[in-house]
Amino acid sequence: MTLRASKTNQSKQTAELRNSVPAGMDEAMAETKMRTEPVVVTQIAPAKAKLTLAEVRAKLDGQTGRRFWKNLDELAETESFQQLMAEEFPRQAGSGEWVDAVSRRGFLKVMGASLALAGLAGCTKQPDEAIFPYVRQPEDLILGKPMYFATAHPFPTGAIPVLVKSDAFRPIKLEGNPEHPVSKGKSDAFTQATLLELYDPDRSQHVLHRGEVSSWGKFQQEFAATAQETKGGQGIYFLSGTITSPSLAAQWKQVQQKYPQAKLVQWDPVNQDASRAASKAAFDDYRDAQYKLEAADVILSLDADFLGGIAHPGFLPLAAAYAERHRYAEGKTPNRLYVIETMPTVTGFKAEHRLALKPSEIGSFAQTLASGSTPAFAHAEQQMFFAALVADLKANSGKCVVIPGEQAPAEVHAAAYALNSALGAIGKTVVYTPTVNPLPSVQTEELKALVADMNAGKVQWLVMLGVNPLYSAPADLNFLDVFNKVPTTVHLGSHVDETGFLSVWHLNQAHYLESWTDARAYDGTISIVQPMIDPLYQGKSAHDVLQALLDNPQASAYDVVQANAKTYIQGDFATGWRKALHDGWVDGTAFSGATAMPKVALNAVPSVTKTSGYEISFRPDPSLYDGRYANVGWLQELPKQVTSLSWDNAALMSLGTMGDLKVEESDLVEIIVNGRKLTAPVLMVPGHPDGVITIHLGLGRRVEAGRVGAGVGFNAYTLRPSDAPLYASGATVKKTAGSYDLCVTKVHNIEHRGSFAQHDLERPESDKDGVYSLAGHEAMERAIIRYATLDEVKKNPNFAHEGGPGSLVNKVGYSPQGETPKHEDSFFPDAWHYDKKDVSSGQIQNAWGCRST
Amino acid sequence: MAQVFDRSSNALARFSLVLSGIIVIALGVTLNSLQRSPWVTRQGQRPDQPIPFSHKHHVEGLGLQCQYCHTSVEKSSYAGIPATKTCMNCHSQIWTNAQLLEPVRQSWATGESIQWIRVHDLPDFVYFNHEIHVNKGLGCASCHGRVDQMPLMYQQNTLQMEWCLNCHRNPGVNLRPTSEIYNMAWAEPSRDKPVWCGPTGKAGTTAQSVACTTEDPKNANPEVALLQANETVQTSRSQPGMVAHGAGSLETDGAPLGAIAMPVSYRRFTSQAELGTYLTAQYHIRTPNELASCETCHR
Repeated sequence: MTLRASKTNQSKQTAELRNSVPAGMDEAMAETKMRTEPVVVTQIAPAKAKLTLAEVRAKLDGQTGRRFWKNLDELAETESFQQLMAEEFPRQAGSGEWVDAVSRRGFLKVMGASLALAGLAGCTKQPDEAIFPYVRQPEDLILGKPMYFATAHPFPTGAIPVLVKSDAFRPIKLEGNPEHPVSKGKSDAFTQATLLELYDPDRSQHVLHRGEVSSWGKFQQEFAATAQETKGGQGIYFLSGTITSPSLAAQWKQVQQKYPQAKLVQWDPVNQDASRAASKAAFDDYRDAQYKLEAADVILSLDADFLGGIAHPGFLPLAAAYAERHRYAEGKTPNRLYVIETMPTVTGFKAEHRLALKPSEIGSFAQTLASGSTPAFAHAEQQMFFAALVADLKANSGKCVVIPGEQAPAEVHAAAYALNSALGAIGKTVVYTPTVNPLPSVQTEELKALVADMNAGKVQWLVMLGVNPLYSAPADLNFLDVFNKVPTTVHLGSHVDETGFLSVWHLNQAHYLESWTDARAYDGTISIVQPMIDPLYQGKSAHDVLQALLDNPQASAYDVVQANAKTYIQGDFATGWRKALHDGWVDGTAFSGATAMPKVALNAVPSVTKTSGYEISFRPDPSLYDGRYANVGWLQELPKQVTSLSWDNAALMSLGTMGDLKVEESDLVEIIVNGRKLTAPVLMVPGHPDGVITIHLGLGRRVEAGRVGAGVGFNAYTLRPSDAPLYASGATVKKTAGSYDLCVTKVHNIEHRGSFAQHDLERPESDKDGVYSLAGHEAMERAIIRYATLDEVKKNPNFAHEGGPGSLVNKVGYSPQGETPKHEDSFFPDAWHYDKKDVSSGQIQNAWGCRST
Repeated sequence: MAQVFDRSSNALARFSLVLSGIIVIALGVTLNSLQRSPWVTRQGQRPDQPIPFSHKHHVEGLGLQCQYCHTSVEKSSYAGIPATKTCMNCHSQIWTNAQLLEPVRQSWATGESIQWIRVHDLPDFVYFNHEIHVNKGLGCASCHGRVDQMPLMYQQNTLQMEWCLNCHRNPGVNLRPTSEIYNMAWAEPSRDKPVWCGPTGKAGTTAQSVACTTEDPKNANPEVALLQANETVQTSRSQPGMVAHGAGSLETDGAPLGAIAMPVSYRRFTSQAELGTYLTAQYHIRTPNELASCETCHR
């Protein structure tokens, strides 16, 4: 977690990057928070001579064929890349700090003291240690053995059912619930990282009233008393994140009965508005799509990153079904994936056929596809792709499916409905069910209405439940201005964040691992979210806030959830409730297989409007989502999918765009959308379409975000217009002075290190000293990653084992007789069956998006 | 100018050279013995506990079984310190007004833990697991000493790394039948007191595959011997009042009756060396090489 530049050292730099923050406020906040913040001094040495675009082009010129590479330097085999590797492998390099006598001596001198002290530490007398045994030990607890409890991680796109490993009733690890029909034991990066979020020391620990420590009781009283004085709740507005809990929705209905004038606005900066708007038009009601990829031979993704993470609804079952159908086995035809997308994603990388289009072009491409009209594309490549796609979809009618992305515009969703309908996919590979979220809405529209009401002075109480609009609201709404017009603002949040800091009341929110609630998973199955630990800071949940207005304000979230569970748990309630808590889901709550049919009425295909300027595509960050995980170190240091960027975000663009702008990687560019400016460093992404820049939301949090997240990257929300939250057209981009070093994890790959470690060595026939690494040797003899096309596999199904142990004789790293090591000589005598790794049947074939830190 | 040093200085200089050598050596010896001294290791020290709990009284006097309090010793890395409730099981009935037990009643009334001082305190970088030791034939007394004779608990052994390694390099010397784990007075087999062991023919955990007895199975009723073998519970009553039913908790998945017809072939052991070798094989104890490897304890 040390790559973060210190706040003080970097303040100038970050101020430059976050230029839209009102300066006065920022400084004031910085002062109040800075004193307690430890200064993390980490200077990243500026990279040596960077590879220029021209060099890359020169190197790439005339190169074709299959070659795997992970970054441009490596591709071009530049000197600086060799240097980087040399530092890691001094033995080969013959230079570098370890072999350099002076440097090594200096190192030992410095380390000598620490080493000596480290040795001494082992000799000190241990202090007395107390034992605090239980007074009454829980019956089934065996101290030292973990216990497992089922719960679910509520996420806007659908809950992820988890099994929590708990040591002495402290959650220590989250994994997918293996018995749950949706997660089947799998989980994702966000879910895993919520554990660290629970133990985040920056979490808010108190109820604050105008910055002073107050109490929940005082808030409850004041809130209930004011509400009673209003006319039916007039002037009381709730601004909540996407509500995922059926119980919370039921509670809201009760509040509405008592206070019919009170209003609820749900809004998340990254939302499903496009899909909601399209489904409202097509079904007269909000619908969610559930794809059955196990039945699909051909899949078309229209900017849907359904293999990338839970930002796409149903990631876990979709990825599992896709992988199962994609796995190669003899006599089985793997499915085929077409992906049309802007920003390259892991889904795009898995695709057999991928077409990179600008966001604006994806809509017209999809509609052209749906209308069956003859397209007029600029490029022959697009024309070919289109023709092949149409033919393939038609040939596989009823066995294909079109998946629109949640961040793709509404017309893409409309086209997907039409296509799925025309191709006979509905009912077979896709069903349209009621929404996973109990109170669906088009959120940006609602937010705009709320801002209008706030502006008109109609809002007396603004109760914000788990949202952070002062950080993430679209820039043109000027949320801070209207926020200041509301007399009483209440913020329920896990941190005293940008919004909590300025709110009149701040209520510290309980983590989902500390609270009772419920949520639906992708297939509609309801899970009860049960607390794993007593709230660390007596936090409250949205249930408690709503309950404060109701007749029985003392009812706990547990009472509320249990009361509502009676509506969906069938049979004997006590048994059913216990079973639901034990299993992690409620039987029979999945949506029925019945599907709604969309009214397919396509508008005339709009002619492709040539927009001037660049398009800016706003995407949730692959690691931090909308910024809610900014203070989770695990996710900050997680190299982002595709770019391998960590602790930062960048203006992601293609080589062509870089050429247009005459910039190199790490140069700063100024992006101007509707007069709002943002400065961002440039990072090249191979496969990105020209003329469009992707920027990830969720970074550039201010100092209130916490010690980890503050000041990392730049805040793309400051550029985001409310009328075009997905992508903005007509942006001006120009190079500006300065440069910024991005943290890109480059080559942490065993194959790579291995091949480098061996590349300049003589390779003797046998290795009697055991100094040569098997991995390295293998990398030279035969790649660790072995690949073959489908046709090649059919011809030679055993291709992956060729040159493996037993087949190479008298080679370094292998036994002289070509035998596998004896049991007692092996490093992993029992756990490692190298020969049984069935690579050819697609073990690696289906590994994607693997990331570790 | 007169000589600054006279001739006797030569001798002084030589002597001081020798002396400084001696000082260096003495310092080394002192530090070494300091490091091994009970002052550092706390061997034999009896810390001030909130209650002067006597293991001697409860174990030897009353015959409480180790696991009555240390419940998880067979199941977990941590043997477990009894909850206040465990004390109150009896002390809500007897010695209800004893001054010594005031902290127990206090804890019971307030819900605050009794704050014991840890006697056996391994550094946090050492991974130790009771479960594996107990289930592979290492008795409580081998590490903790004769707890049944300790009025106040103290640490019998140094718990230093050399002490751990002594056994890990040659585990055979301390192995005993798993049925004798909780027998504080277990003595290694000798010519006078031999031990008979034989395979039970049972699958399952290693401890179940072998049965041992301290009474000559030939003298006993053969049926009894068979039954004993089948039950795997072979207890010796070398010390009256001692409860040694450790293995009694092992599951008894009765072998099919047909198998009983095969008489158990007992082997007689008259020395620990023989028994150790036999049990090492039977209990699948890892080789000294694996046991003494760093990652066994420093994970």
